[in-house]
Amino acid sequence: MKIEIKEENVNETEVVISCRRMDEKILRLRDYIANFGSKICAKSESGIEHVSVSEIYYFETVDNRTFLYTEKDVFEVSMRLYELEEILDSRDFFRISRTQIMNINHAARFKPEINRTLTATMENGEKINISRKYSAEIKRILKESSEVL
Amino acid sequence: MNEMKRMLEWFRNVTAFIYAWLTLLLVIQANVSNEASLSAAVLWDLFVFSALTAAGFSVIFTKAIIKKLSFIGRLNCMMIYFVGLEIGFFCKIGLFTTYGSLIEWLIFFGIIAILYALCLVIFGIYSRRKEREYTGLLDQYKIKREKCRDE
Repeated sequence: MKIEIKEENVNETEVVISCRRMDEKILRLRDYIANFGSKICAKSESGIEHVSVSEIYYFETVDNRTFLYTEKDVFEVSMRLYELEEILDSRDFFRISRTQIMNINHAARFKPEINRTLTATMENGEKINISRKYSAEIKRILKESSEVL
Repeated sequence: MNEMKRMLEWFRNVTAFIYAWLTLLLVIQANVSNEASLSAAVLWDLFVFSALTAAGFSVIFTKAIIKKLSFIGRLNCMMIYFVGLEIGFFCKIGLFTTYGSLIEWLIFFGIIAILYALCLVIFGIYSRRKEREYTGLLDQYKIKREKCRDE
């Protein structure tokens, strides 16, 4: 891939991707650039805030409402989990149960439980349960990733 | 082929281990109760019990025959198999020919309780080992993602 950076007197940074054919890789690259340093609009007790994606620990749906958890705070977001899955990078954010999406970059430990689920301990010490179905998927991704390395 | 070899090795080693221990316990019991001799029939029954336990253990805990089953699934299978085997063995040595006494039932459930406790200890060790493995993989994944982002 050829990367060219031009320094010009422009008002807004513009990224142009020139490719022979638009495939999945290109679409992922587009999404990555689009979400680079992106923020999610969330509601807290003090009002509307823009939370950086990299700060998010996990999302959770409770009673049809979606909440966003950071290290110390909880916010409410207007989007549903499936909508969030579409805009977030699938290599950082993993579905871990029917009601939760986790940012793997903030997970500190994974512990297997007797019922074949996993308990993820986050960097802030919070523990979240990864359901049986999704824990198998996460284990597979981690193992495949280590084989590539 | 390697798994088959491993299964047979385990079968041999586990049979030897169980039979040696049970024979030793039988000798101690004979000494305590002032029995002068051990019959060949008892030793043979003991050997069959040891071999069947070892066979179950090596089949359940290797991948030679049961390819895909979780560790907990294997532990459960072993418990179910062993309880059945124990009932059979108790019938063979005449403990379960009648309704049995309270002591006989206590021995039976005592063995199951000890085995269950042992399974929990084994799971604790297994869980800690797997925790280290998954956390190591997680760290590698995070480093890889970090590199991707930097590039």
